[in-house]
This record gives sequence, C-alpha cells and structure tokens, in this order.
Amino acid sequence: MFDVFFTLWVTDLLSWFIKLIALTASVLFVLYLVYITWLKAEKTKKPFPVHSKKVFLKAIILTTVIYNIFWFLVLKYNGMYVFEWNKFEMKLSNTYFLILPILISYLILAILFFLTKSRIKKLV
Amino acid sequence: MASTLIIGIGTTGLNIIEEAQQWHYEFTGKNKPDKNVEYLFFETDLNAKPKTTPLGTSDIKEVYIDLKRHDATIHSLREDANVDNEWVPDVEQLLFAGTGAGWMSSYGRLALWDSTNFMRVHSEINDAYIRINGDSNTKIIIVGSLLGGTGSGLCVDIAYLTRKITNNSNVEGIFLLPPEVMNNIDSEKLKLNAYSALAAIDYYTNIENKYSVNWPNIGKLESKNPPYKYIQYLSVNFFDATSQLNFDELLKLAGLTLLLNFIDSNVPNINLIRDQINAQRVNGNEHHNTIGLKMIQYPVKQMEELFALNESKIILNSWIDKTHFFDHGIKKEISAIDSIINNETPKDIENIIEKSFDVLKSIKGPDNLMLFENLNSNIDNIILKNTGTYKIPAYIYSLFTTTLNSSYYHIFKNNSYLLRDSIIYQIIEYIDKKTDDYENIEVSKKFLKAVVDGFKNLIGFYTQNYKIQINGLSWDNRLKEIIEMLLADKTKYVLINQKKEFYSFLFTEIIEYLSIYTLVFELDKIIEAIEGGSTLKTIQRSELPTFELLEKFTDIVTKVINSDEKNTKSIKRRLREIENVLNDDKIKLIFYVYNYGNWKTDFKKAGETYASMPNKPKTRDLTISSLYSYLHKISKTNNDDLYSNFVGKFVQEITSRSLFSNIDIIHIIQNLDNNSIRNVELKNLYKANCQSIREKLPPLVRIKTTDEFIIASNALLYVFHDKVIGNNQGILPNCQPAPMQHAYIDTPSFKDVIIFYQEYGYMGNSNGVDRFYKPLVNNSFVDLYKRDILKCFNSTAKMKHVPYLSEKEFKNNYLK
Repeated sequence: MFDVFFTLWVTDLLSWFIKLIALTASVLFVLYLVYITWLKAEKTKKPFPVHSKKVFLKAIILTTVIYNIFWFLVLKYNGMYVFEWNKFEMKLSNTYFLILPILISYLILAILFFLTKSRIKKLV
Repeated sequence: MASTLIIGIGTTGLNIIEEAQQWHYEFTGKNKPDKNVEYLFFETDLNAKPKTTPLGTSDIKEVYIDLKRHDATIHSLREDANVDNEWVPDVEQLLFAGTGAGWMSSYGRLALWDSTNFMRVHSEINDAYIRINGDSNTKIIIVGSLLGGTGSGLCVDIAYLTRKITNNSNVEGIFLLPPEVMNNIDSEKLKLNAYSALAAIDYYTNIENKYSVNWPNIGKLESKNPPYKYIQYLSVNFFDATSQLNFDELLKLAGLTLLLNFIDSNVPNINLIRDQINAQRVNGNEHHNTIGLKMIQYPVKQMEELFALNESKIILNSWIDKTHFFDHGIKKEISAIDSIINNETPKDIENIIEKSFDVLKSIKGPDNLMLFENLNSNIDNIILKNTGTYKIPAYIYSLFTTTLNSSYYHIFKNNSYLLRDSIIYQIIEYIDKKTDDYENIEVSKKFLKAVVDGFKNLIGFYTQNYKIQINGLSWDNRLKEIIEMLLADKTKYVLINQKKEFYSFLFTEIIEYLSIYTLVFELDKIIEAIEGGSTLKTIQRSELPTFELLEKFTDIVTKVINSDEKNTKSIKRRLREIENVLNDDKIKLIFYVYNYGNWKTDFKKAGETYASMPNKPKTRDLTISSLYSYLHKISKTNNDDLYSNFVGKFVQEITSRSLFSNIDIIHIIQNLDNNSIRNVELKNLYKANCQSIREKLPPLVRIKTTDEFIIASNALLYVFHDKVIGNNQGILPNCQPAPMQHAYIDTPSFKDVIIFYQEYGYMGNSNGVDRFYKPLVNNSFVDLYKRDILKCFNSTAKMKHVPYLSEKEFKNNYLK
C-alpha cells in the first residue's frame, strides 16, 4: 500500500494502473471529506445551491494544498535523482509516465474547479 | 368685557353678518373680537352658506330650520288645542324642502314652530348666550330683511323668544326696508311680507298690545314689552336723493352699522362706540331710527387679499401646469425629468417589491407557527418519513396545492392583502414624496405611470422566467413542474449528507414562487386600479393613488383658480369681486383712497417690495402637510376647503409682511390731487365744517315729503377713527369737538378709516309732543304699498303673508 502511494517506480503496467486509480480515487475521497465537513461547518443564508458550490470550490483548493503536501512527501522519500527530465524513452521508467497519475489527479481537481465556477456564474 | 349676540334671520340676515364679519376682519385681521361675540343665523333655505373671510374661515354658526316636514308640522299644530294655531297656513304643495319659506311670512314663522326646529333654535340661542357669558349688559342684535319669508316671518317671534331664553331685554334690530319701487313678478308678495312684518313690529311695540302666544314646546309666552328695544332701518333709498344705493353697498353699510355695536369690545377699559351712542338715545319713546353714514378707507386688507389671491394663483397654477414645473424657483420643462424617471424608478420599484415581500415573512403557517418554523416541521416530516401515505413529491405538492384549504397556497391567498397593503402604502409614500419634491401633479402622474410600467415589466419578467400565470389552476400545474425540477437534484445532496438543507432550499424556492405568484396577482389588481378600475384601499382605508385621483386633484385646483360656478369659491371670482369694489366709482357712501393715487399703483409698489423680500412662502408653509396628502384630504371634502385653507393661509402670510405702507389716512386725504370729482368731493368732506358734514350724510330711508327729520339738540355727529389728535382735538380741520354737537370717537381698530355717523329718529315737536320716526307712518313707500296691498288682499294673502295679526287687526290698524 505504501509503495502504491509513495514509491514512484513501478515494475509493471498493472502497478501503474493501480497507482493511477488509487491516487485519483484518494484525491476525490479527500475532496469529498473536505467538502462535506466544510458544508456542515459553514452556515449561511445564501441559496443552498450557490453556497454548496462555493464550498466545493474552497474544498478543491484545500484538497490541492493537501495533495501538494503529499507530493512533497513523495519527492522527499524518492529523492530528486529519480527524475530524468531530459530523457523520453518508451519504457516504464519514463519520468513523465511515472508522474502521470499525479498530474491526472491535479488535472481532475482543476477541471472540477473550473466547471463549478462556471456553474456558480450561471446560478448567480 | 361687553358681550354681543348677533342673530341673523333669513339670507339677508346672513349677508349682513357676513359683511360685519368681513369689516371686522378688515379692521382687525380677525373674524370677531373674541369669545364675547357670537354670530348665529337662522335660515329656512338650506342653500344659504356663510361666506368665509380672507382667513378662509367663518365664525357664523348656521342653524337651518328647514321646512321639509311642513305638512306634518301644520297638521300637528292644527290638531294641538294648546297652541295658538289660527295663523298656521295651509299645506302649500308648491313648497319644496330646502327652498326656503317661499317668500311667504307664514311659512317663515311656521319653520320656527316645528318642534324639532324650535328646540334647535332654543338650544343654539341658549348655548351661544352661555358661550359669550351673557349678562344684563349683553346686547342682542337681530338682523335681516323684512322682504323675504324667513325674515318677515321670524322677526317678532325670534325677538320674544330670545328675550325669554336669555332673560335679557337688550334686544335690538337692524332691518332692511323694501325699496320704493319693485319691478319683479313677486313684488306683491314682498310688499305684503314687509308691510305685515312692519305692522306686527309696530303692533307689539305699542304697550297696549300684548304678545301672548302658546308655543308648542315651552307653553305660554306673554309680554307687554315691545319685541325690540331699538330698531335701525336702512334701505337703498336716500332721504333726498333721486338715485338709490345698490343692494351690495346697502349690505356693506348694514354690516358696518352692526360692527359699530361690537368693534373692539374685547379691548379692556375702552369706551365702546355702542355705549357712547346709546348714551345719546335717552328718550324712551324712540324705538326706531335710521342712520346717515359715510366712510373713507385706505383698503389695505382688500389689497392684501388681492395680492395673496394673485400669488396663490401663481402657485396653484404651477401645481397643475402640464408642461413646466419649478425646481428651486427655476422653471423647467416636465419632459426634462424623463431621464430621471427612467434611471430612478426601476430601483425604486425594486425596493418597493423587496419591502413588500418582507411582510409575507410575518405570515403564520397551517400549524399556527411562523411560516419558516412551520416549514421546518414539514422538512422533519420528510426526513423522518412522517409523510403518511404520501410519497415525498405528493407530500410537498399537498402542502402547496390549491385543492387543500389548509395549504400554504390558501394561507398566502388569505394574507395577500398584507402584500397589497404594503405595496399601496409604498406607492402612496412614493407619489407623496414625488409630489412634494416637484410640486406638480403632471410630474406625479409621470412617476405613477413609471410605476405602472415598472410593474408591467415585472409581471412580464415573472411570467417569462418563472412561467407564472394569473389563475388558480395553472398554479397547481406549475407547482408540479417546480417540485419535479427541484427534486431532480435530490440525490446529489443526499450524497453529500445535505438532505435537510436541500429540502429547506426546496421549500424556500416554492415559497418564493408562491410569493411571486401572489405578487403578480396583486400587482395586476393594483395596475388595474391605478389605470381606472375600482378604487383600492388598505385595511386602514388609505387610498391607492390613481390617475383618476390625480386628475381629480387637477380639477379641484383648476376649479379653485377658475371656476365660475355658483356657490363655488374661486380665485377668479374673488379677484373680480375685489377689483369691482376697488374700481367701482358708483359706490356712493364708501370712499377708497390710496397712497399712490389708485389701487393699481399701490398694488404694483407692493409687488416690487414683495419681489425683493427673501423667504417667500413655500407650498409646505401653506399646506403644512405634504402636498399630496393635503390635496387628497381636500379631494374628500370640497373645493371650498382648498380655497379657504390655502388662500386663507396665504393672506395671513401677506398680511404679516406689511406690503402696503402704514401711511396715515389723513396724510393720504391731504395729498389727494384734484384730478377727479371723487377726490374733490372727498377733500371737501374732510375740510367741511360740522354742519356741512351733517348735510352730506343723508338718512338711509326715504320719508314722505311732508315729513322731516330734525337734528335734535342732543343728536351728535360721530366721527370714528383710531385716534384723536393731541389735546382732544379732532382729526378734521374745520370740525372740532364740541359738547352736544359732535364727537370724535377713537377706537384702536379704525386705523385706515374715518367713519362719519349720524342717527335720525326725531321728527320735531308737535303741539308739545315729541314725534319720532315710525316706518309705517313716515316712509314714502307706505302709501304706495298700502294701495297695492288693498288691491290684492284677501284671506289667502292673509294666510300666507300676515302671520302675526288677525285679518281684522291688520285691516283696521294698517290698511285704512
């Protein structure tokens, strides 16, 4: 389990897939937890749909911060030498391929952020 | 403080009191001295209403003794064996209620004998006497004409009745006599009225004849005393002039004569004019007299009123101007505010709607809890699944449907008046503010139109965006759609554990739809009312401003400015009246003099002074309340109130500014040029010696050529003014005070005036007996009248016109 989240290296494609699924799912799970906690904590007189979407935006930002901390810990554990930025080989050891699950998680957060933002705009 | 009770009988009686009141205003700025004077008038004609003075008020208390039930009164009097009823006339079918006594004395008398009228008269006299603190020094003066049915019918009864009620014998009269020549078709009736009234007064003035009457309410009233201690007669005919006075001038003179009885009677330690005149009437056999009177006046009050009328007209016109309004004194086109209306009104309407929605929050739900508390309990029911047999959508539907009487829909519907009232109040406040800001009804109409347009746009918006239509059935359909739409998101919120918040949101949304639905419905009604539908009022009876109401305001103001309708007060008419008086060279006994030679120049100079004055009166100073509420209040009463209130206030404003110079009238007379005959006549009067002045004061009755008034040795020529020039010297250069010759009487209120006054009653000594003026003996019309009356006198004429004397008494004593 530790390796799934904290080790960058993968030995096979299946492990990479597991990593991809686990990372994105955990990001969404963290986001959900932050969201409902925040929603419970913050009371408002604003219309509920607007309020919930605003809280969702804030939850995305907080989740990103949490995810950054996680990303920092990953870097600290694996060291910077694992990254070979000037190579692009079609192998499992390709740096870009290895960090793709993390990038996808960030991308999902970004998409959710902009989608929610546009929905709020429509509601208001 | 000497007190006076003045009683007018008939329309002319009212006119005389009105003139006295007007004179009093002109000399003192008040309608009457104080609480020591009361004006009452008794009238059978319900159309006769007292005129107001320029103050906009009248202190004349009208008491109508109508003949609506004359037939019942006649029957009951005839059937009552305990009352004197020989004189009671037949039921006269031509006599309609409210039209007066029909120029028949008997019906005038009958009006007093109706028990309701009698009690009214009794209590009014009694109350008025108490109000003036009546005592043995109180003077009671009955005034009127002897021509009409009311005056001639009441003249004797009212005098005895007043003496009885007040237990005061100081009852005097001032009566107008008929002219020598009458050309109207009813002249026979009038002659008979006047002649029989004079006969009745004469009959009871003779101490050998007893007044003995069984009244319907107070029983027997007997008296051997004359009805009047003293009567002054005036007529349009001069003693020695070929021409005659016009009736309006006669009324003014009669009013002035009446005024002399109570002017300054509220001033402490003053020698009252009436007391000084009474002191000269020492002979107990003299009951009747007439007067010679002339007056020179600097008509400041008339000019002040004229000025106030002109200025009022300018302000009132600005209220109804259809093209311009005044913005801080600058005239601007009304079209210039279109941009302001376009910019401001949408925001204002938004505020109105927002505030109106607030009132719905105070509504109670079906469980008699506050609306949102009630909704919370509904949410709990849904979450705890206590919705009975209903599924959630059906449960929500049942809470808001039109089909269940306890639903929120019906609660809103039943309370929709709150929303409507709130909107009405805010529109009133809005139009009130705009009317006050712009002081122009046309501008107010524009703002009202903008409100209507704004409401229409709002309805359009709601109809389009909320798909709400104004009818009950469509609400249920729309409700289903709304519930379906909102519940579509249900799962999403359940997933994030926000069920309660979601349903709370859902109910809030439905309530908002319902509020908008109610609002649209009410707005539609309000628009319809503003545009000419039936009037809408709040529970507190506040009326929604409508175009019709604003139009009514315009009509009222227009009428006050320009009306020529009979019995309506208008600036135009009053301006004409005053200008006619000031321009009238035909007035014979009242002379007006001016500081700058004529009233127009005086007026112009006053205008220049006024123009240079800061702080001119503003609408708010005159209306006190806001212009809209002022006009609204007035629209509920009548036009006269606007005239009286507004012009009255303006007159007070102008009076307080002393626009017309306080120059002494003597100075004005001395500086008169000799360019007009009138000026010469005036100067001659001023410079004349006492004898010449007496000769210039002809008696105001015409007596037979064989008779003659003799100036008794103790008869004084009076000159009334506000001061005696130093060392008891008179104000006239060639007529100085002398004992038993003439007297100057200073009374503080006669400031811009000199009045010359001479009484005529003594007719010389014949065979050692002093002869005094008696109208039925000495007046020149007597023989002519007698001849005409004899031609037409019969029992019907007696029944209609001779209520006080029997046929025999009348014929034997007065027609031979």
